[in-house]
Amino acid sequence: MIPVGEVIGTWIAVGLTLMMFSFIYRDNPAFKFGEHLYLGISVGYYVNIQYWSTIYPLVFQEMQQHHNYWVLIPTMLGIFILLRIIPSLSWLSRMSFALYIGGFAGYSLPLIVHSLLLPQLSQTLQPYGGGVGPVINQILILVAVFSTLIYFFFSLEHRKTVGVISRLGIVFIMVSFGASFGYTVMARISLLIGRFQFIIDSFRGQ
Amino acid sequence: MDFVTLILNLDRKIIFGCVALLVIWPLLVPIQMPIGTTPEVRSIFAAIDALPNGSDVMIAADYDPSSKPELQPFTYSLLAHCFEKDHKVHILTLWPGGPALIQQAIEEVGAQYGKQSGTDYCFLGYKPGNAAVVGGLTNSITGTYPTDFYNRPTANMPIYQRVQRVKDCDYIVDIAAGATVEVWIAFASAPENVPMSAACTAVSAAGYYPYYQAGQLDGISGGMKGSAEYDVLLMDKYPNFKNGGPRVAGNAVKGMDAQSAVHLFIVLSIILANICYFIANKRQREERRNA
Repeated sequence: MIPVGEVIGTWIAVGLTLMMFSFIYRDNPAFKFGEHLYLGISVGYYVNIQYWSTIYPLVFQEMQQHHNYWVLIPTMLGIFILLRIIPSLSWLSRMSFALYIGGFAGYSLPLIVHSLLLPQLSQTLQPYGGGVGPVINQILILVAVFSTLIYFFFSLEHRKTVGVISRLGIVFIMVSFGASFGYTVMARISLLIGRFQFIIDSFRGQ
Repeated sequence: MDFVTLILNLDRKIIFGCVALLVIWPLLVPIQMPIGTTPEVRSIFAAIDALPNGSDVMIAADYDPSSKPELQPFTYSLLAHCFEKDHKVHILTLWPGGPALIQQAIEEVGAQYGKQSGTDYCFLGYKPGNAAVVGGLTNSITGTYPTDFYNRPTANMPIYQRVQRVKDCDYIVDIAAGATVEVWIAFASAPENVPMSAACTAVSAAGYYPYYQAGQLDGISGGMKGSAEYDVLLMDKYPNFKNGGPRVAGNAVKGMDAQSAVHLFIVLSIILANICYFIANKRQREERRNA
């Protein structure tokens, strides 16, 4: 026997899904109701999650249980960021942002250069080898990277040789956009399938 | 109105209707089209399968309900694969909307395999801070997560008696709806030299291929198709996953008929619309010449 609460919850979810789909026909009050309900619940849910996973354990619990009042300093810096909404006090937020951006940049830059930039560069400039296929791939990657970089190099006028290379860069960018768009279509259809699967399973009582 | 004009002025609601029909029909009456597997997904499967039984796998499930149809099946299949191999699973999320989905997956799959929380797996929960959290995990897992999702202290758990930090894990998999794959590569996998794979939404898959090409990711699974491929590999290697086995496999496979049908429809529509467009253009030019 399925609990009554679960049945009601499923029907509400199915009803809300159909409300959102109704936008395909035209904008209407049912869609607006679903949209506003979704936004309201999402914000409430995320505020709740952030409070119980961050503010409560790292601030209140820290002070109550461990008497660690140092946490008031980052809390105050966090409050300063919120003061951006008060024009006369918005200057205080600069201190928090300066600390956050400076600290994070110092922490992450060496790691990003070491772990992302350099390995990508070295893979782009691999020595040729490994058969005909890999060699063609390596040349293609090199030409694509070079021509795309030329397209985004604005200190030279894109005429004659530079213009030709830059146009080749556009071709590679378009191929990349095409692949991304194909994947995007696949993603959106997957979401639609997920919703229909949920509706069908709900009607079948699964 | 001739055919060309009809196609070029087609009401978009008709296209929506066709797409809806092509999604619903295969879900009601499965065609069971064959699902081929790609080297990218086979690499993830092979990497997890090649780990010695009882290895430690860190899974970051960085997604929320908006990506559930694409990534939740992968989480189920990966967890089942890990438990099938008796791997110890350390699962967490960097997305605030993720905990409910992970809790559902880990509890369901864990129960099917009779696995104990704290001994065979640990659901660490959500913590904000992306790079700061991942960086923290490289120093100490229990220090970054003093308690698990259920608010139990992690330091005393049997699973953390031999694993202290990310470096002690044998493999990392990021199941990501956003840009967290780069965070895991930059702050954990590359500096700590722990091999890694990623399962991402189809939208972001193209962006992660350079990391796969460079060998920084062992494999990539893109969207529902990648999840379905993993299911197929799981069912081929472990026959108990087929019919009546753990419910974990097959969720993405169910959707692939609909996905293929809609893709075929979209491709044919694009070709047809382009042909009609060029015919209409040619007609206009001829009309102008005759006028």
